[in-house]
Amino acid sequence: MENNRAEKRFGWPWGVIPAALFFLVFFCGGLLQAIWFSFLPGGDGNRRIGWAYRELASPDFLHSLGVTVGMSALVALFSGVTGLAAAILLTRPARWRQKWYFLFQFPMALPHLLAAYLLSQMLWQSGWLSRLAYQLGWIEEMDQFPVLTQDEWGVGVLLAYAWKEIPFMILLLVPFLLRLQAQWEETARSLGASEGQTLRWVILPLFWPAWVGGMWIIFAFVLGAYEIPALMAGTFPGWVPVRAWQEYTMFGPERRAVAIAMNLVLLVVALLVGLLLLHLQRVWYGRGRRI
Amino acid sequence: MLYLEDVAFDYGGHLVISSLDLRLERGEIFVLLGPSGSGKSTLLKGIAGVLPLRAGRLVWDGKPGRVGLVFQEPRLFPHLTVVENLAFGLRAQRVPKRERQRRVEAMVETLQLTGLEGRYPHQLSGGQMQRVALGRVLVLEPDLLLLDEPFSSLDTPLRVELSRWLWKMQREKGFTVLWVTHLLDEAFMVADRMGVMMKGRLLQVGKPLEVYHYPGSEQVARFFDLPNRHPRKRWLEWFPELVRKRAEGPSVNGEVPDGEEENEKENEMGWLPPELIRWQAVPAEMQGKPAAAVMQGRQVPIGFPSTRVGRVQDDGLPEARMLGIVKRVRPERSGQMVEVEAGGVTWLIAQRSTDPLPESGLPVELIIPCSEIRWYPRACRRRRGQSTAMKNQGR
Amino acid sequence: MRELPFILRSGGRLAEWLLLGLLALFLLLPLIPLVLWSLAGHWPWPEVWPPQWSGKSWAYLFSTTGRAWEGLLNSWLVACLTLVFNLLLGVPAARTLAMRRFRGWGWLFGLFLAPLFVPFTVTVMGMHLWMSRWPGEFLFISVAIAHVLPTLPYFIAILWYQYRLLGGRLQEAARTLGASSWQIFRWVELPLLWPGLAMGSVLVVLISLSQYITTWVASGGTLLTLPLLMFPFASSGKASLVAVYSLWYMWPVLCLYLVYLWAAGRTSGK
Repeated sequence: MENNRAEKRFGWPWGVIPAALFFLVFFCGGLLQAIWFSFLPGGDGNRRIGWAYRELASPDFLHSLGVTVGMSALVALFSGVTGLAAAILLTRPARWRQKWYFLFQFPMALPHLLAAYLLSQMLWQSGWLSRLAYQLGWIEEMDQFPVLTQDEWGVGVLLAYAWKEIPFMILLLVPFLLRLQAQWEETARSLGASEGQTLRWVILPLFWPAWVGGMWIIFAFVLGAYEIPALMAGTFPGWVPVRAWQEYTMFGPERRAVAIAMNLVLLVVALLVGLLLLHLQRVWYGRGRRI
Repeated sequence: MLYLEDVAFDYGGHLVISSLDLRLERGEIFVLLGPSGSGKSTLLKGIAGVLPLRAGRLVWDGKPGRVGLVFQEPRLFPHLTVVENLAFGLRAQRVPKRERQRRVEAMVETLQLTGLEGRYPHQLSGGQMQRVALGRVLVLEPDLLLLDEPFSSLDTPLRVELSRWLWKMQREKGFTVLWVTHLLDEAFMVADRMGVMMKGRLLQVGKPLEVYHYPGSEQVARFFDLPNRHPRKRWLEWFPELVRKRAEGPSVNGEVPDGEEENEKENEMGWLPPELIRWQAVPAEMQGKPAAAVMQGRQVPIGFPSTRVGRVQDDGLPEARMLGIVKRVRPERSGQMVEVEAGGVTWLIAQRSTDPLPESGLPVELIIPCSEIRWYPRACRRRRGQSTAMKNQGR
Repeated sequence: MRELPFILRSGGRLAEWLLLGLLALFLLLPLIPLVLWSLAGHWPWPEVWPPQWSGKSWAYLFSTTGRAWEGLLNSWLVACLTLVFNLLLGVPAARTLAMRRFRGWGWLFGLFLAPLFVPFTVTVMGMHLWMSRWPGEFLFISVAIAHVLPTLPYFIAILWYQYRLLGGRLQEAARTLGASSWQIFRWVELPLLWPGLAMGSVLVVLISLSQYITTWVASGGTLLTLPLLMFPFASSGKASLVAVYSLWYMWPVLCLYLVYLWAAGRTSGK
């Protein structure tokens, strides 16, 4: 009832209209266009609707999909856990380590492209770490340095993403942590809880939604990101965004539908994970954990 | 039981309490009164150990007792159920599971919250939340319970009910309570002893009605909003023969404190409880003439420190009269409050609901028992070498 | 209840410092070879230090083919335009979302945050198909519009949160004193939201500056921002050139960051 009264008094929510229009036109419009395009029959006429998706049902693509989804999840988890640990460490002392906090933020200012490059030149077999290893006497030949880029395990990619996403996690988590600590510290102390108990039983549980939300953002981002895998991942089986981009730009306009179809598969994956998390958030909301 | 000696606490960078002495007796309910910002919450947090001690010391009589603190807001952990909230402190102290369950179940019953064990705080009402907050601390069986305006966020009937409930529990279990509030009626309902705190300093300590009737300073009197409060000079102006020129000490035991110089500055304020003043209408033919001897008699209440009953007048101090006009009649819980404009000030007279009501504008004659005037000093008395509060905490 | 010896939080312990130190090292170490490469001539393996210094990469950067200033200006111009769009679209949206509840609130909020959760290549391709129908004038504007999609969700999210922390009570009080909406915005909201607004703005600028694919798609590869200039060198492994472009990219960002820190320090209470 209060809602209706407010609406009558203030009228429409004018403020959101410009942004909403923008999103509807560019984002939704673009998306819908892409979806429609991907289902179109192909140029020769001997291809039926949805041919692009049938093309994707090959083991080749599925392998790529597996790599993409798996690595994205790995990056999200790795950044999430390390970011959380760092955030906790940063906020623990009485006057928290604010200077360190600002220091850890700086990778946020640099493009992913640069992160790829920076980590590459560290981790290449001809990179800086390799040279240090030589100087320290650990290796004698360039080949003895482990292959960390363009490798099948994707270590370089993981580290490059971590370099960017851990600061993002820290940026996301630290304000939350500080606020939660300010709110609950006194109460928990007055009941006799130690620092560790307060952290484990009060702060972290209340913190869960924000943390999982942050990891999801990273997951969705890495799922569709181009630059780092383009520069650092091996060509076979290759990440889906890279393959999609290739199909889109290099192999002629007929392949565009395939490229879009590939990306839409990624979208579906992201949405499924998203729905799962949304459900979890609802459950947590009912159990009192709110942001 | 617990003795705070010259303690100092700061909060948020300011020194809120600088030099405070307090003594708490085992098994008593000590109510700490004071306006907001006076440092009451800081004191509680300091005793609980949530804030560090900046100076002075906390001395326990015997072995150190357990302290529990209940905040103004319930502050229940939103992600834990009622039962989990109650068990929190026990878990923190690693009480074994079975013992924990037993105590929590017993507390749920005491709190009258059976059936709500699995609920989350956002599913509880204000009163229920506050009960859980109390239970959370009580389940730890503290020796000293610190309450920071525990019921101020609840409406009156709930507040009264919970205060009564807590008072009963305290009498049963026998733990000591330091209860902070800014509500006078709550204080009077539960206190064994009362203290008034302002601006980080403890101004006066004593039995509730003592503190109320004999405030230690004008500050305290103003906090209580004591009615009919005037400086001695004023009283002398109105009733020169009926008011002692010189100050006396508090007439509690009738002795003049030793070592004290009779100083006109001492006890230079006086107030009169509104239920001790009477009014009578001035009959038309009497207006302009000195008041007649006949009055509608009403009982003078038995009380402090006078023991006069009825209309028997004291030899030395006959009752004083003053003419005035009724300004307003206000309803009160226990009757009415009549406001009379006389002698240039507003007088408050309390009467019972069965007494006749005057009309606004009615000329009346006030009957003022000058011997009942409670005298008190304008400023806190300072004794050599000891703070006033310490002295006032006398046995 | 114990007798609590008062230690609110312990100071650092060795393990904590070690872990934080390792992380700091991980983040900072790659910068060293970057700087070295920018000034290196021939730097073969396994030298840790360049045996030969040369400024030729820097010379290239500032030559006409290097387009140092052009790239920088393009990047920052687009970033500023993106910021303007974000402010115009995002501030009213965040404000309305935070202060009013209306039917469809949840859907709208989800819509605004959707680009964060949708893989970006999808968004980009969709945008391309959409925008390829349009005339190619006002290149900067169309690129800025493209940059709004990855930036606006963050901006709205940050600002919404700040508005929520602010609450609505102060504005209500101001309104009962007769202030108009615009006055309330200028005198009550803006000063109090300033830190959040600043942080959101800096984030928008940083994200816009770092866009590669978006700019490529929206301009057909014609608007040469710094990332576009850098990418070919990065993919072909020209370490020294990439290093030089990276440093050239970084210095204005560093200045912005320092200004932000200074401003934040001045108005800090939290």
